[in-house]
Order: sequence, then structure tokens, then C-alpha cells
Amino acid sequence: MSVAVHDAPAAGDGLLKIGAIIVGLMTFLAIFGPVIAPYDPTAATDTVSTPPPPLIDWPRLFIAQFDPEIPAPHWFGVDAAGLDVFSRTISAPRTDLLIALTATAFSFVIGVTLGALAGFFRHWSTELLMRASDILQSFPVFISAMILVALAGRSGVNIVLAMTLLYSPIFIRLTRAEVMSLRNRGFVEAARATGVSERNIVFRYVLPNALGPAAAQASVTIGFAILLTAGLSFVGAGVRPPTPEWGLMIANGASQIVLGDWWPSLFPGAAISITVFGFASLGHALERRYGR
Amino acid sequence: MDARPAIAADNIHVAFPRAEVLRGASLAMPRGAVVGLTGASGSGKSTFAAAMLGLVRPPGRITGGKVMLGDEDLLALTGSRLREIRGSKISLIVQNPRAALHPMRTIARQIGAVSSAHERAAPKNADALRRQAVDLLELVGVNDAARRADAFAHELSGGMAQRALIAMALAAKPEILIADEPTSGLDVTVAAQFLDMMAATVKDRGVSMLLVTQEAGVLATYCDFVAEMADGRVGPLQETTTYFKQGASRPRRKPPPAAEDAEILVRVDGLRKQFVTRGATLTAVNDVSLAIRAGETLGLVGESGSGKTTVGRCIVALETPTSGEVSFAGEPLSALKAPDLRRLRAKVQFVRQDPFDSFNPRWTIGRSLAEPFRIHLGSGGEEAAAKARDLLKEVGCDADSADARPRALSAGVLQRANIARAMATAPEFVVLDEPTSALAPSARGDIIALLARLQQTRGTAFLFISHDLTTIAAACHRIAVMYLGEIVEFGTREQIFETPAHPYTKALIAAHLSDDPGERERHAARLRLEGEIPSPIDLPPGCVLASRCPYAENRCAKEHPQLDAFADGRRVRCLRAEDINAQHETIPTPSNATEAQPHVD
Amino acid sequence: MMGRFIIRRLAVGGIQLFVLIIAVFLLIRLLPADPVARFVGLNASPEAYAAAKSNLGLDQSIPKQLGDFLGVTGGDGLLQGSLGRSWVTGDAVAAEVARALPVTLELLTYSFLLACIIGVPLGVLGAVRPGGAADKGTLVFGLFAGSQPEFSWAIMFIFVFFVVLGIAPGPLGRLSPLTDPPTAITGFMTIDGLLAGRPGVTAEAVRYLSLPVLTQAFILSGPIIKMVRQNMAEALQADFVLYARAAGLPERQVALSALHAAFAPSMTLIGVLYGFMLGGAVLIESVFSLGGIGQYAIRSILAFDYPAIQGVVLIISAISLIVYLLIDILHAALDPRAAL
Repeated sequence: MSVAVHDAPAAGDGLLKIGAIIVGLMTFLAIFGPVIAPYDPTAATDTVSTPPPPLIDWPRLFIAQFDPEIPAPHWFGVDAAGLDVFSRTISAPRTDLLIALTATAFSFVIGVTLGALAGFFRHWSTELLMRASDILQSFPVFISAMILVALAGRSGVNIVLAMTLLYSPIFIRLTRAEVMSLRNRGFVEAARATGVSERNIVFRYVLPNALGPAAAQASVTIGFAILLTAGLSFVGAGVRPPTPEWGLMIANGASQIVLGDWWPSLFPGAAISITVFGFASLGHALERRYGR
Repeated sequence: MDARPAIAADNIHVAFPRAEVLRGASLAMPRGAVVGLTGASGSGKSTFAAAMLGLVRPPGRITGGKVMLGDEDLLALTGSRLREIRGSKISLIVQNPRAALHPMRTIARQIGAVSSAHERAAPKNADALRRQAVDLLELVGVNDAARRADAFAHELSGGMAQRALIAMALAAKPEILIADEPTSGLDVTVAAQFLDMMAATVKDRGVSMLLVTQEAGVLATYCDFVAEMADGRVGPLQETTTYFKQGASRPRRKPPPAAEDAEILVRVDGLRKQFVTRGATLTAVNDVSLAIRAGETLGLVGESGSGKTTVGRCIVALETPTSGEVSFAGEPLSALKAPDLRRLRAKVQFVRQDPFDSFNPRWTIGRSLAEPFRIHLGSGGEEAAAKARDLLKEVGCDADSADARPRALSAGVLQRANIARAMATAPEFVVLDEPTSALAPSARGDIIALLARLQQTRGTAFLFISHDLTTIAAACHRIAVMYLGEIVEFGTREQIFETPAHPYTKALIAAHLSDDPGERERHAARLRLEGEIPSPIDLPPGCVLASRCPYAENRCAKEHPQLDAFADGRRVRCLRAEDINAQHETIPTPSNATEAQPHVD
Repeated sequence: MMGRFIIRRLAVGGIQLFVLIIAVFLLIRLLPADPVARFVGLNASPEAYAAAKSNLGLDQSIPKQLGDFLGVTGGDGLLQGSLGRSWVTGDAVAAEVARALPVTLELLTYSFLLACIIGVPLGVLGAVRPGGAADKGTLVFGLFAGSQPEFSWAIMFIFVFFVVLGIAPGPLGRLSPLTDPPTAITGFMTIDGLLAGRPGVTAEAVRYLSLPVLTQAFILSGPIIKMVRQNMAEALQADFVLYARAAGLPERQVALSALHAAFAPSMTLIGVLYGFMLGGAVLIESVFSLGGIGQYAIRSILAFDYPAIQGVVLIISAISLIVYLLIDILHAALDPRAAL
């Protein structure tokens, strides 16, 4: 019986639920965020630098919302440029999540395909691939991403491309290791001895079993991609304003912190915090269930 | 004699995150006796053995039950009382000796730690502890004990490491010894010496021992009682003689005769297989030739490392030979292109040892069994599924098991399904690699009977690969004995078992423990092989057995013997074959003149 | 044996480094960014543009530029020990990097120490009692800490401890702007202060490092807890632990022996993390204006300062390589099973 590192089973399932809820919520916001936002995330409102209403007032304000005459409250306050923090915060997932998901999806597909090939065939080309993958993995991630995006032009597309390049090696390496270990498993050989064609062995026996760990890793990678996107935008090497994006919001808010305006930075920061934690938990729970 | 049991386990439950491994296991061990605990792989024997000390391998947890030692329930004790009892009243020996020793501490320190933990056995200062460790090592038969005491676990051979474990287990003089497959992984002759030593020690001191093993021979020779585990529970405790007389479990003693003049189906010529790892070349198979006739069962016997599995794999084209040729029905395999090879697989099949590893864990058995029908007979989904169910019934399984996943079935049933899958396309020849080793001894006879029946009804030829002489004797018509990649003797069943000619075969037969408890006394005469098996990376130039053979002369180390014809039609690879067997003498014992077993005082 | 191993690793690492630096060199020149326009401005005359381009050496062919950089075409290149001159300040890149590197190392070293002090015991605790509150708690904390945006937390810490509570200094760098920095010997402000006989400077440096180190240590504790927990749990599941308990050894001894076995692989992983963080401390350095190599990298990249970019990447990768080599040597020294 193979024994994986233990987790208290209850914690594992709890993490799965929390992760799923958070990811679900953020995905919902990514799709509907800008639609349900009370204010235009890129347009200034009539106030400036207003703190959020105290928590006790929230239920009353929420109920008052049902009257269409009353303007929406600024749940998260207003920043120094007059933009509604709440609207921006819930509109940002469309940018952050989209970039992160796309980049991870690309790296996943590229990485799994190349990794599977490298796992099956020992050829000078696959050896070269692994060397290149190693070198790519030794690049300092954040700095390399900055170089790529700053010098290629700051745009979401370039961020996606940069991250795809930097994250593919992880999937290549992971898939290759899984495939190599699966190739020698008894049931794969038994299939071969039964006369299953090599092609079918790859697609029906090995790959379905190899994708588990890669999928778990994908969830974790999405989390890191969000952190990277936000970080890049924070230092000015990522998304351009006025696109609502959590990192940009924190950067704007940073200059206001010393004035005591905490809300422009806290809410996007908390949003990133929770979202990445959600993806990490989901990834962890998936790994426990589908990892080897 | 005290009639109370030495120790009694009552209704123990052990749960792991994905399954309950022990479901109410109970066993009362009689005082001063050796109890054999057996069962199929995965039946929970190791878990039970550890649970007797109140231990469990994480992430498992003991969720219920009692272990009564005298008036105390070990599972209810905690802290220092439990610690006192463990090691001093009851000791454990585990299966993989090198893994049981701390990787970064010397042996002497580890043995010393056990002594110090139980004051009544311990002298306190470091020198005295080390001396005691060295003494213990010598008593359990470790040569050059003073030097070995400073070794680390990975520097020792399996046999040495196991002896070190015994030394640790005996350091505080326990009353009860739990030995979990102590000889698996040890070379047969080393295992035999080891068991002799343990049995003598145990008898001398009146220690009660629980011996977990899957070898029928060990049960028959060393155990007074036998209990068989299945499904997380322990079956009733029986006297050994009773256990071996049980109806269906009585193994067939002899295979039904095969046709005399059948044509040769499989021919192997000069097979050699080498593996290259990290710059070193490992020769697994070195010049093996044999022929298998239609409808017969050829046995390939050898210990682990002898190359027998590799031969089997080359024959079914799961490996490509480095040189030499395998031919089926006259056609060499190397000449076949991929599509032809795949078509050949309908006629030549392979059954492996571990049934759980042989099936796709995500598919039902039915789906896995339907594959060969789909591929070779072009059957559609429905048809293939129906054929799969029929096949399962033919091998004695419930048709409903087709809907189960591998994990849900027992080893015995799964292995039948494994054989069924191999028979799906009505092959003419099947290679079986240790097909019964993962099963409980009582289930082995059934598999052998199944194979015999299949051979009778379908005329299939088998290559039966195993290290276990009992099953080989029950299943095979002719037998090839392998050592270090070569066939050293090749003859009929009667020839090999009744008059072994090659020194290695003699040693193997002599060390073999019969599964008939009545044959215990015959076990005393031994031919011992000294030393350890040489490395297959560095094959000796002369006879591969020369370094260990009691009959070896100078020329044996220099000249490589061929597989020559011998008097009664068999083939033997030994320069001195004629001499050795001409005098029907008693087997010489090399260095020790007497049969004195080493034992602890 | 050890010598041969080191030489082999250095050789392989050297090749990897070489490929890497060439890749970066070519990559930045192939990307569409125009550093010349950045320097002369968008309204420059064509003559001024051409002059600037020539100044920066960008009018020459790429192979020639590469040759100059490597120092093979004579002059001032890598072979001569020079990393070129920054296009922004005109100073030698090597000197600027040498000034910036110790800042990062100081930050990372203290952060790792704190993270290990917090993380290792928590990781061990989580592994020792499977299924208990400690197990679940450390798992969740480790996952949480490792997924945090450090720049966000840094800002929040500044808000709480500086703006509201006033107990920490503001994000103004390594020392108060009014303090005269001591002569840089090690580059570690905390040590240099003592070496210069000015313990007050050391104390101040510690105060200014407190928030950055706290933030960085918090983030680092996540992966450290996870790794230690995993290694410790594996060690505890090993047969030798079962066996030691079966022999009646005291639980404390058993736990220590498991820790002993888990130590070497954990050290290795922590070391790898350190090498990785050299390029990862960027954001904290930026928020707190520490002036380390990460901040230098940001400045250089945003300014399209090619020589500086090349220098930073080269140095960070080289140091990571050396760190990994040291870890492997340490591992081999600690673990008798690791054959070199």
C-alpha cells in the first residue's frame, strides 16, 4: 500500500470545499463582476478619498438598495482619484483571473504534451528539450517576467506569453516524471502484452493517469500567476492603467497609506490574498486525491 | 505448563484513510509455541503484527480492540509502561531490514540505544554498550562483528542487516517475538540458516513467537500452529498438520502428464540480456537456451537476481534481447514487424506476479478483460463484455466481479481474473511470472489446479517462473534451474527433485522447506553455500558458483562450464558433474563440521 | 572525489550560466523596446538619435555587440571582469551590483532565519501529531502564508505599525535619511555598524529592517512549513521509526531520530528556496526602498538599461548556482547515504 504524506482527512476535505467556493466566487466575478458593479470602475465618482461605511451600517444600506432611487453606497470607499474601490475590486478578476487562467492553460497544454513526449521517447531532441527546460527554470521568475513584459510592451497578452514561457517547464518536468514512472507500471505492460497499440497505451492508459498531478499543479500555478500579474503591475511592468487590476490598485493606494487612507490598498490586497489561497487549497486537495 | 496464552489480541480494528485494513482481528498465542501467520498480500498481516505491540504505520490508526499481555491491555496503556513493555517483554522484527535501521546512525549505537532504554539489560557507559553490541552481533552470526558494528545500514547486505535487527530485538531479552516476514529478500540458503538460528533461540529460551510468512515450507517446518488471515480478520488457529490437511487447500502434488511427442512451440537460443546503468553493464541473462513443447509446463526456478523474470519477459517480447533469438512456431521474434508482433500476442501471453499491479486501477475488471476480445477478435462492446463474464466464470470467479474495480477484490480472485485475461484469446503459450507468490499458501493449490485444468482442456503450454520449489514441483513437467543468469541444470521433475546433479540445485533442494509437516526431520541434512552471491555487474570468468561451491576446485574458477549432457538425458553445467554424482555420498558441509546452529545463550 | 564533483558541477553550471547570459543578451535586443528613444526623448532629431544610438553601441551588429560584452573582441568585457557601464548612471555595473547585492543578502538572511525559527518547529509539530489540531492548523497556515502577496502585506504592516501605532520607522530605506551610513565593509548594515564602532547605527538598521524582515519571513514561512512538515512526516512513516518504537525507545528519542533523518532533505529544500528568493525579494525591497538588487533590477528594466539588466541576471543566476552547489555539498556531508 503506498502511503502518501498524511493530512487529517477532515482538513483535506475542508480545504477542498473552501478552495472550490473561493474559486467559484472569483470565476463568477470574472464573468459578471463589471456587470454587477454599481459604478463604472474607470470613471470618477462625485466624491474623493472617502472611507468605507462602518460595518454596522451595512445591513441598513443593503436593504435601502432595493429602492432604485438611492445611489449605491461605496462599500469599500473611494480612492484619491475618485474611483469606487468596490467596483474596481470586483471588476479586477476579469483581468487578473483571465490572464492567470489563460497563461496556465497554455503552459499546461504545452507542458503536458512536451512532457509526455519526453517521457515516452528517449531521443536527442527530448534530451535537448529537458536541458532547455532546465535553463528556463533557472531564470529568476519575477525579473525575467519583468524583462519580457517591459521590453515587449505592457499588455495583458504579453504578460500571458511571458508567463506561459516561464511556467511551461514545470509542467514538462512533472508530466515527464509521471509518464516515465507509469510506463513501467504493471498494468501498462500487461496492456502491451495483451497487444494494445503504443498509441492507445499513451492515450488510454498512461495519460489519464498522468494528468492528475498536473491538474493539481495547475491550480497552484494559477494562484502564482495571479501573484505575478499583480506584482508586475505593482512595479509598473504589467497591466496599464486604467484597467482595474488588483496590483495597480495597491500601487495607487500605496502612496495614500501614509495619509491614513487604508481602503484603496486593503481591499484589493485582501482579494488577492483570498483568491490565491483558494487556488492553493484547491490544488492541495486535488493533489491528495489524484496525486500518485 | 501455563495454559494461559502468552498474549491475546481481541477484535482489533485498524483504519487507514482509504480503507479499514483490520476488521476485528483476534488471535490468542499459546505460550512457548511458534505460531505461523499467513495470508495473501494485502490481507493485513504486517498491520496485525505491528498492532500486537500497539503500533501502526502512519497514516493508519488503531480504532478498536484489546491486546492482553498478562492482565494488561497494551492498547490501553500509554507512556512509560508501554515503552517498558516494548522491547523488553515483546519485540518486533520487520520485513525490510535496511529500512528498519536508522539511515544515519551506526549499528552499535542503535543496539546500544535499545539496551539503555531497558535498564535491566543495560550497562551504562559507552564502551560497555558497544562491547555488548559487538557480542550480540557475534552471537547472531555476523562475521567480523567488531568492524560491522560501526557500519551504517546501507553498507550492509540484506542478511547482515537482518541479523543486526535480531540483535536489537533480542538485546533486552523479550518473552514474545513478533517476526514479520523476516526472511523475505534473503537468499534461500541464508534464509534457511537464519530461520534455524531463530527457531533454536526461541526454543532455548521458551520465547513465544509469531512468525508472519507466505512460504508454506516455513510454516510446515518451523511453526507449531498456523492461522490464516483474509479480509482483515484472522482465521481459526490450527495445528500445523491440520492446516496442511485441509481439503481444497491440499496442493496437487504432481501435474497430469503431458503429451510425449508434442512439437516444439517455443525455442530460445543463446539468449543474452544486458542492462546498462550508470556506466556499468549488468548481465541479467547470460546464454540461455531452452525449448518448450506444446501442452507442457516448463518450470524456471531461481532466486531473485537469477534472471528468470528477464528470460520470461524476453520470450514474450516485453524486452529485446541483447543477443540470441527467441522463436515461436519456428518464426524468430526479431523478424516480426510491429503489426505482426501484435498479432502474435493473441497466441503468446503473460501473467505477472502482483495482480493489483496488473490491472488499470481506474477500470472495472470487466473492461480490462474485454480488451483482448476487442483487439484480437474485433468484438464490439456488448459482445466483448459478455465474453469477459463467461471467461470469469470459467476460471472460477463470480461473474459479478466484472463490475468491480481491482482494489475491491481479493488477491486470489484478482489473480484468477489475471489468468482469465491471458486466456481470452485462446493462446498456445503463456508465461507466468511467480503467479502464486502473492497469494496465501492455501490459495496456491487452487491456482495450480486451475492451470492444470486449462492445460487439459485447451492444450496451452506454460512457462512457470518461480522461486518456490513446492509450487514448481506441483505444476511442472520439466524444470530449468537458473543461477546468476545461466541455466545450471535442466531435467525432468523427477530428476531434479529426487537426484539433483548440480551443486546449486542440491543446495536449493536441501534448503527447501517442504510444505509437509511430516517431513520436518529430513530437513536436517544440509548442503551449505558459503558467502554471498556475486554481483551481476562483475561476472566471474569461470563457473558462476565457484566462489561458494563446496566442491569447487582450482579449475572451476577459471574455466567456464557449458550446459553438457548428463547421464540420464538431462543437462548440467558443471565441470565436476560426473565426479560429484558418481559416489552417492553424503553431502559435504564446508567449514562447519557439525550441524551446530548458532544461537544466543 | 569531492574535488571532482565540485569541478564537474561548476563546469556544468558554468555552461548553463553562459547559455543563460547569451539568451538574455539576445532576447533583450530582439524585443521591440527602444532604449535609444528612451534616452533622447521622442522629439529628438535624427542626428541626435543616431549619435545616441552609436554611444550606446546599438548601431553595431548583434554578434559584434555580443563579442564586446564577452570581451573577446578586445577591450572591456566579461573576460576582463567587467559588466559594462550603466546607461543611466554611467557607473560600472559591477560596482553598482556589488553595492546592491549585500542589501538583498542581508534582508534574505535575516528573513530566512526568522522564517526557520517560526517555520521549522511548526512543521515538525504538524507532522508529529497526525490528525490533531496542530496538523490541520499548520497545514492551513502554511498554505495561507505561502499564497500571500508580500507587497500588499508590506503596505498593511506599514499602515498598522508606522502610521497608526508609530512603533516602526517609515519605508525610507535602510537607515534614517539623517544618519550617516558607516563605511561599507561587508555591505551588511547591521554588521558594518558594529565594525565601525557605532552600535547605534546597528540598532537603527535593525529597526529599519524589522518590517521588511517580518513581511518576508511571514511569506517564507509558508513553503518552509510545508517542506519541513512533508519531510518530517515521511521520516516518521519510515520503518526505522516504527522499529524504534517497537524496541521501546523513548518517544523523544524517536522524534529526534526522525528529525535527524528529515534534516538533510529539509536543509536542501530551504537552500533551494534561498537561491530562488534572490530574484524574489524584489517587491519588498521596492516597497521599503532598501536599494537591493531587486530594486536595481526594476530600475534597470524600466529604464531599458541593457548592461545593467544583463549584469543583474548574470549575478543573480551565478549566485543561485553557487548556493545550490554549497547545499549539495552540505547535504552530502550530513547524509552518509548521499554518494557524490
